[in-house]
Amino acid sequence: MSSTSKDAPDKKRKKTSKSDLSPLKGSGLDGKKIKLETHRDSRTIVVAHGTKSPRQLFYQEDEESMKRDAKQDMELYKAACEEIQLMMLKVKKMKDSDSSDTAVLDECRIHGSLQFATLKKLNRLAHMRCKKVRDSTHEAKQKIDQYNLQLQNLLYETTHLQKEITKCLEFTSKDEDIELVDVEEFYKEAPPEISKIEKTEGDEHELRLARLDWELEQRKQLAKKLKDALSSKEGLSKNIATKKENLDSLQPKLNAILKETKPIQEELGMPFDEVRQQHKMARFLPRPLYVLYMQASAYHEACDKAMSVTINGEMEEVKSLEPDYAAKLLFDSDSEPEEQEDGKKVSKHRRKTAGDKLDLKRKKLLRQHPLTVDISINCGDSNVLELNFCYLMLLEVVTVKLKANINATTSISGGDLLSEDMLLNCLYPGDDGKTSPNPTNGYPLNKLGITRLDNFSGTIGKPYMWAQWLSGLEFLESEDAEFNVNQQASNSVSSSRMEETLLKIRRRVNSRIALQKQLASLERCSVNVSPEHLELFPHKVLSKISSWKRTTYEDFVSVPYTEEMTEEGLVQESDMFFTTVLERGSAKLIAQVVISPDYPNQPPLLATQVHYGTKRTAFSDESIKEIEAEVNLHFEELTSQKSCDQLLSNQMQRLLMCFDVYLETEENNAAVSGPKEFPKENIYQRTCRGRNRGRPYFYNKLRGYFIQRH
Amino acid sequence: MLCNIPLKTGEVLSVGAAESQERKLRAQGVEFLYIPPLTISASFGYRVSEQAHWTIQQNHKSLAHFLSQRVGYETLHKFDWTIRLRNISLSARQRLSAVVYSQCFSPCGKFLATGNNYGHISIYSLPAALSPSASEATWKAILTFKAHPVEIFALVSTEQFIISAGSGAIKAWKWSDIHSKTLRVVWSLEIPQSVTDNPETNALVVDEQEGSSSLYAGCGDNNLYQWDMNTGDLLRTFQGHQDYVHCLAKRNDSEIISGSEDGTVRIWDTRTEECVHRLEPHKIEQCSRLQFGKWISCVAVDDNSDWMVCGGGPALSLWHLRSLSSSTTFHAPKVCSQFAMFYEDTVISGGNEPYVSHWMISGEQKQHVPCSPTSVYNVAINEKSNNYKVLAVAGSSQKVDICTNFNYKALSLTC
Repeated sequence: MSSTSKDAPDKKRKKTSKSDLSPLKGSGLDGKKIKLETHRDSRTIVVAHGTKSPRQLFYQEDEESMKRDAKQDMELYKAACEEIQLMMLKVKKMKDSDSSDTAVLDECRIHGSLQFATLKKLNRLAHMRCKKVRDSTHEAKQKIDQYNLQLQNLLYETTHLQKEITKCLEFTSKDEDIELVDVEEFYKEAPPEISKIEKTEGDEHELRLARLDWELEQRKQLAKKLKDALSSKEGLSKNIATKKENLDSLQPKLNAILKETKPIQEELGMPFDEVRQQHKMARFLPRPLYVLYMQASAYHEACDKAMSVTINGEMEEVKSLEPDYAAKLLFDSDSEPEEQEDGKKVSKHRRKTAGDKLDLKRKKLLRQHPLTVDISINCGDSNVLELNFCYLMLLEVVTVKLKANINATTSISGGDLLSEDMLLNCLYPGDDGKTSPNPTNGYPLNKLGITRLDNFSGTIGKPYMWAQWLSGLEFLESEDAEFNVNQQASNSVSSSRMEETLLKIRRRVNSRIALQKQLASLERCSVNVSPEHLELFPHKVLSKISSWKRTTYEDFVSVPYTEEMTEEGLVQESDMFFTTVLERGSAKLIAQVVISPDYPNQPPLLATQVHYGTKRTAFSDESIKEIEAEVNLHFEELTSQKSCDQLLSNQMQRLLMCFDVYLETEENNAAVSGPKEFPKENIYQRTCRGRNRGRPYFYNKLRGYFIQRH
Repeated sequence: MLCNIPLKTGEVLSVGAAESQERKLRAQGVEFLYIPPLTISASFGYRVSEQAHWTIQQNHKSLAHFLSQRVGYETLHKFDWTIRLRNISLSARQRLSAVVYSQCFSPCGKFLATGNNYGHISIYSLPAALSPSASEATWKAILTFKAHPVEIFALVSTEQFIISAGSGAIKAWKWSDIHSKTLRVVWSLEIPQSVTDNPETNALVVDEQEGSSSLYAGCGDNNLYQWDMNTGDLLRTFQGHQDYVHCLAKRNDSEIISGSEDGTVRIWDTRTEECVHRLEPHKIEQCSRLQFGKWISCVAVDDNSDWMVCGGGPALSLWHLRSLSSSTTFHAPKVCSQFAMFYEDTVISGGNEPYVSHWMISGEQKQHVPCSPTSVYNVAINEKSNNYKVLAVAGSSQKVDICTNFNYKALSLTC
């Protein structure tokens, strides 16, 4: 406080001078005081110079405000305020004390007023400064804003550039996708001017370039090739097109020709159209019959004009046939058909008896395909055999119905030889057509109580094995289960059997006709020996046949002297049995004759018994065994090279001849004196020979006498 | 017709081979096996060596099945059924009228050889047939081959050879070859051709003396022939019989006895070719059976050369050779004897009945043994081996009966 009080006069003085000036300034007085103040330091207020213009003065003040220190001004302002307070207080004191010293009072008043002038100036300066500061601040702010803007721009630019850089870095060249040949391969294949080993060896980039070059080169070549190929292809297709056009233009011409030639076809008997019709039908045949038709007609075309093959049946029925008929049926019969059917057709089925149902089911099971293949075979002498092949859809077997138009003499004992039932029996060994050749049929057939298919042969025909073979079906015997696979009908099976089977059928028919003839003549008790075989027998054969009858297997087996033959398996139930009696004088020979269905391939077999005083058979008399051997074993010479059709007659003739020999040599053995019943009508070289005292049953045709075989 | 059906590697099935072809194949060393019908599938259990052929004789139905199993129809089809089946049934028919005329045992006593009316010699192994595990399969011939065109009437065995005779030449086969299963004719002797065509040989006798061995044959041209077996030279011909010679028997070193269709039994001196004695059994009242004829089909002489037995049309009778008189007649009124032999104190005989008779010297019948052949042509006793001492009966049947105890049939061999 004391210091301020000490400084106060100084301040006061200054202020005074200032305030002294300020009213002057306004009043336009000279500027001695101002001059005085100008050389003062900055602490003094510059008083406007009376000599300067007001404008100058204004700017001067402006400058002044700049020059002066704000803090000093504040000191000045405080000092002035204090001065005023002091004056006020002084005036008050005086007023209180009533000292009406006016001089002092005035001086105080003047001094106080001066102080106000100072305050005024200071205020002005402060305002000015404030304005100036505000301006400068504004200016600075503007500058900063500008810089900020610039900074933002720069930052943006950098990010953009960075982006560009990464983009560049990430850029993938096309060559990376190209699959190049291996480096080793490249060096091996590329020409040196491309590969440039010395340059590319270390430098991966160069290497890549070189490889790309090579790739380009190669691709260029390939492209060239492609182009060539395309052009040649185009040429070819053009060629084809022209040819096609050519061919297409043929069709109408051909049609025209076909139309034109129709009358000629008819005239010449060349039924091309019918054939075409048949071929059309053939498409609807089930596979096995198709195979049969194809193979049979092929065989007909190629080798055998004496047969004909046709397809019969209603096309409409075929078309209405459901494709999965068989499968459906099989399913029906396996599940419970009664319930299903009952549900559907109650009224209809309830009325039916169980038997009717069974019949219906059987019929269903044995249903045939509506199309059949008919093969008719001409066996010569206007004997025609018609074979009607049907396909049982469910059982998957082919059956044959036979119709024989044969002109042949009939015999009583062999009446059934040419019957439709018997004619083709056992064409192949054991093939009697009585059971289904398809082993898988056993179950469905048994279920319906069908054990033998031959009971139905009237309606469906017989499922002979060879019919299956001709149709390309191949079943093996039911014993070998592993082969029981129902194979697709194959052409090779059919073709391999065709010729043989047809040959067999023809042979069978012819041999049956021949057998029929022989049987007819045997029934008349005569043996017809064909001229070519006459030399096998002597002119005179005195034994005669007195009877020839048909018998049965049971009859045959019941005869004791046939036992051994049955045991050896030489006799089957399917064979035909006959019994015949030969007579000469009081002697009788009874022979049991077995004729196999496969006659004459399987020659007839004879068992004999001689009644001459005693009953003698092969067991009691070696000579009779020899007769049997002569007839049964040495049949080969009784057949001519061309045919063996006369076999039975020849065997019978030989039996008669042997019987003669037996009787004539037998008499001799007995060495009894007196008249002989059977004088020697033939010449015998030796009546007996060897340990067995064998009889001379063999007729030597050259020398005309009988000898033993040796 | 021969059908070879390839089975598996090394197996070849040959069906119904014709005899000529069979012979050719045998000459090439091809082996034939006869497979019985019942064991046919089992037979495939054993593998035969390469190039072996199997001949199957059995009824055709099972054969067809069997073949289809083995080779499939496709292969089967390549062969003509007709021919094959005819041959198969032919072989069955052949079996039906087979007659085994002759048999002999090997020197070792282990094998039996038989000859039949088809000219086949079959060899049987006695150890196999008599073994405890024997079955029908082992009663089959181990080897069968065609030796003669038709009958084989006589078989004799020497140390080395089987000598067979019948139709055609006399042939000798080596016993040792049966192991290699390929038999070749070692030597053969032709019967001199005379008036009779192709005379058969009905009997063979081997006479082995010190330093020389000779073979006698009784033939269909009424003669006896004697050959030197070492050189093959025909030494002597004994002529005199009026009909063919049925049988032969050696009496001692210098005499041979023959029986003939002409009803005589002649005793020949082998040194002079002369007939020293002539017997006519049909003229003796007790033997004579005119209803059967006068032919003599069997003679036999006992070990001491004192007794002879002969028979045929006339009844079987025992003769004393020194006195040349008939002493005993064996009573079998309906039987014509076809074979007789001395064995110990008995006479064993067979004839045209399915029995073998054992007689005491006194004339009583000791045994009457039933057998398979309906007519007996040969009885043989294997005296060469004690283990396999059996009696074999052959005759008009494919079967050869073997009796271990001579009183009943033990088993039957079949070809």
